[in-house]
Amino acid sequence: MSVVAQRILRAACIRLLAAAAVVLLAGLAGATLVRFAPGFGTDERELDSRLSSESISALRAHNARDANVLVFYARYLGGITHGDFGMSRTFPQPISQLVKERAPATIRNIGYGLAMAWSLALALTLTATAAQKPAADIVFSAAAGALISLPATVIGLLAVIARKPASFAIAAALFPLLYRYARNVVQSEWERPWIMAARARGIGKARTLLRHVLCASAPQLLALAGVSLNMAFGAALPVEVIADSPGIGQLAWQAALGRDLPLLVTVTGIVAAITLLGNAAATLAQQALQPEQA
Amino acid sequence: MKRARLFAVVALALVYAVALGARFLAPADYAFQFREAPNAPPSVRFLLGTDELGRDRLSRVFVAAQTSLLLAPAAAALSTLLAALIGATAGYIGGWWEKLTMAGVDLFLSLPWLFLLLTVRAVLPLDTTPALSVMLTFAILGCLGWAASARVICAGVRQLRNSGFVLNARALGCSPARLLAVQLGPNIKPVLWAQFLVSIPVFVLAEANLSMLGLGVAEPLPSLGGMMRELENFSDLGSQLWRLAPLALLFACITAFQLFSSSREVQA
Amino acid sequence: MIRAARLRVACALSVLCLLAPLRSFAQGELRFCLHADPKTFNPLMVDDDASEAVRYLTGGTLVRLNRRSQQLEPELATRWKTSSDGRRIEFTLREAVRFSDGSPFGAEDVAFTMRSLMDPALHSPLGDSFRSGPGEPQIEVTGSNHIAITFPAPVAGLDKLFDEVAILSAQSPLKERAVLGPFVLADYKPGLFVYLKRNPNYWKKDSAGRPLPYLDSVRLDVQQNREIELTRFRRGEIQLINAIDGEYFDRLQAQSPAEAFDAGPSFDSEEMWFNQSPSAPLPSWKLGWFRSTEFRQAISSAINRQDMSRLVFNNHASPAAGPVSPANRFWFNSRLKPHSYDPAAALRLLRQAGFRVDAGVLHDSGGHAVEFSIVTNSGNKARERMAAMIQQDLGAIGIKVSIVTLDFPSLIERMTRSFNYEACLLGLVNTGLDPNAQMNVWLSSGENHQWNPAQKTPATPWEGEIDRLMRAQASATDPSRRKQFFDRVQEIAWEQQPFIYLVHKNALSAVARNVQGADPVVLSPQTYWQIERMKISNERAAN
Repeated sequence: MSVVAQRILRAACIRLLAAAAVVLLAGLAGATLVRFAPGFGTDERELDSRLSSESISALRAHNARDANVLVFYARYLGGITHGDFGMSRTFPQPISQLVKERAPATIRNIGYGLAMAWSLALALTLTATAAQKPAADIVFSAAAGALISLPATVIGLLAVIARKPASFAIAAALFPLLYRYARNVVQSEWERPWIMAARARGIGKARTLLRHVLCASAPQLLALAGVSLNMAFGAALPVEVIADSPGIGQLAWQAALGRDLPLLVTVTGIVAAITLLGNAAATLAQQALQPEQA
Repeated sequence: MKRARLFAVVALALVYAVALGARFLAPADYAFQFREAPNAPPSVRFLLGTDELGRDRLSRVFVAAQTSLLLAPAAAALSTLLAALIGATAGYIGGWWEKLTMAGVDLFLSLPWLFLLLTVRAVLPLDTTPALSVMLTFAILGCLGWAASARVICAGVRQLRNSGFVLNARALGCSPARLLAVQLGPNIKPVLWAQFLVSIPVFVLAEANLSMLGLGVAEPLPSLGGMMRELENFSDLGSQLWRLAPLALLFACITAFQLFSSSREVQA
Repeated sequence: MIRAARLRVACALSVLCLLAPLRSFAQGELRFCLHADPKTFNPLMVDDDASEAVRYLTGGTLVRLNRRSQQLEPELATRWKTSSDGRRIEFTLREAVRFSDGSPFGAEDVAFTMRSLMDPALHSPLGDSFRSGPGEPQIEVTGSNHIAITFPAPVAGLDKLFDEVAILSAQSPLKERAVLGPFVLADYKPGLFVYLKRNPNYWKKDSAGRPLPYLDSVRLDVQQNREIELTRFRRGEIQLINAIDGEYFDRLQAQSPAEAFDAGPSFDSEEMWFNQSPSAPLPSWKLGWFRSTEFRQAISSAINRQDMSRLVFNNHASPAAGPVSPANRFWFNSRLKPHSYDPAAALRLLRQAGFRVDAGVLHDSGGHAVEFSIVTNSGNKARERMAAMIQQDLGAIGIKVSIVTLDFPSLIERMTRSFNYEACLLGLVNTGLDPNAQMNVWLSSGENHQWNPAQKTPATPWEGEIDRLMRAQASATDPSRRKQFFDRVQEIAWEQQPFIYLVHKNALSAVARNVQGADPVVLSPQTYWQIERMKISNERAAN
């Protein structure tokens, strides 16, 4: 094995270990937040007036079983080593099955949502930058402003009324955020002296934009792309709840309402893994584009 | 562009004058229920009609503007400041520090902060005044909202750190603090503006969700986000367009901020 | 010419049908929404509305309460007899009945079901409602279609409790999936739907001898959002809404009056109570107010229930006097009238109790300004509005009220563990007709005696009196004697106002025009209690 290959392998191993550490830490921190939140270990059934006091005590004892976070987490991790994520508290099902059933919907929602939001945001950013007309800027900004001012729940409802899938609502929620950042980053690059110089030498607008301005904005746009995966997941939560798209976002919400500790820890781990993945991909792309700066 | 900027300044000044003087300008007590006139359409008495309990919507919009449009920009400024500090430091120092900070950002982005908010509510006494509770809510939002843009800022600063003019300045003996303030600051400003502008409406709406958890604005104090929850039953919104007033105000405000900032960019 | 035009129209229509993203419906499929996933499919453990719906549609019971007449009717038992001491019940079972999987039904199945239900380790709410004293019931199978069950102590309203006992098969390998009800669970996708198919072995036939149910299937979509539920109803995607808000009801009635049903006051009540628990971390003077009968009566008189019914529920609610709604024909105490709105009387009462008004603010005898917070569950618009109205009403007699909305787990923690709250606004869902279902609410030792739960000895003489009356009604077997006792409980509750009852919401529901055989009532399940006789005509509801 060559020295270079060894070095790359070592770097990859370190990165993987660091990522695993972040996911583990996220799980533990998530478990701690849930455990110490009010209402942990309560159950709506306690308000059922038919239940005898013995049954209520039994219910409380059963729900208090994970009161020690460290013991719970150790047991949870032990279970994971042989593929058992435990049973959900809110649904009468194993967590691995719940996640498996719901992941496809969220992957679809987030995937299509991100693709639509990014295409629209980049297209409008490039158009506005190329045009350099206040009118274009005002119209696009107004559209973004209108969308960002609408609560996610209302966007979700609109999607349902318009019979559009949840990914439309996620795109509508993401687009204004992406557009705002992208437009400001690209505009500031456009105003740099070397871009002015290139334009003065008669290089075409399209070529300047695509070859020079976009390349120069790439690090920040890629960082945004990495983070946008996490943003999309954040938007998926209310949208899936409202639009009744049975994905991980909806699952997370129900788990939160039920203080479902093992399920919430699993979802936190998944979100952490997705966030890391998005950002690692962005970093790699950045290194590929500008190796000397990384 | 100048005209647009003038327009934006006038609009913002107007909105903030109304927000600051809401309690004097409001035609009625924002909390008083005119129970004989619930869901009233606009009239001379109620210019924007009334809500389902008969409270004057115009007065409520004024007071809501005060809570939301004063506190949300403050929280947005806080989160932007945090993002700038954390992102720029990481990008400037680079190396292990940057890696560690970014791992921290990833961790921060993945945690279910909702439960922290619930815990904060549990610690607060139940008779906390609505004003104090809403201020606290926006402070928390400001403290939690920095992570995503810190990453973007870090990338921007890292790129600038290696650029010619920064190397030049460093070679000339420019101190790191001065370098950050004079050389790097202006260059990452667009991202900061974007973060600031994006955060305002996001926080206004987040407050509405938090008031459902007992944090944030409690009855009878209105907030723009809380009033926009009315839009959730929009089946007959078409015949009651005046219910869109809070949305229109927020939208106008965001657009004015945007116009103001973009015209500044062009001028700079 | 006309024919050609028709052909073209037909072509265009069929193309439109192909393009439109409308789902097609199986013939005879009824659809409606559940507002949450069922927590369990075990009929013995049901404790939530969604599981209850599935149990009602799939479970076969020995007797069934007719939701219209509120009388018991024979079902899998052709005859039954309760002993005079209320401890023993005998059933004669229907013959030649089979479970959905083909296994035969007999007395052993009933015995198996009752043994499972009464297993103390199961902690079933339904099982607990049979438990009136220590000891286990004796179950005697006295023939293939005859069974007798003897309980250790009298169980009031014993026969009616069997309306909820879905019989399980003792032999079937499918366990609780083998059912005796009109439908069988065919598919469940968490978060999406529960799909029920017609039970081919269902025993019931209509008067013409045709097997029931008429419907081929029932699809229960899990749908939390009421706005979307209404939209889907208008589009014809679902055919029933079991409980609908006043606001949505009015909108639907304006557009399509034939589809909106107001069955009058329901069994459910909305109420507010003050925390009187000695474990509450509240200052002693505040607990003093909350324990004062005059204070509670004054609060009750200062709340305008009429306005509440009109503004919050769009007139689809009526002021409440006590725990029993007028819809519960037998147990309602008609002598009690809701406390009328009278702020002047409220102030008189408060002055009697040593309170005084200074500069528009009410103070107690120790000089403390009277102010308290009301907690309620978040996300319930009606309760938030009710709280805002109480705030204004009490403001008028100088009391400052703050409102705190909490998510349900946080609220439960405050109500049952930390007792860290001052007043609470919540609704009670009464499923049972019989006061025995409320035993743990009224007994001072009960965990659900919300204002001061799990007392060792009654804190006040009137709570002691309620304890005595509740026990007396539970051991009496003569219905009119029981009614006398429970009427007195209602009167004490009316005088003492431990719960300040506010309104009974009306039972509002929606049934699409193409559904036949629905007869919406106040008792749950309001719209589909006659599910086996319901039909769907092919014409889609016009929008």
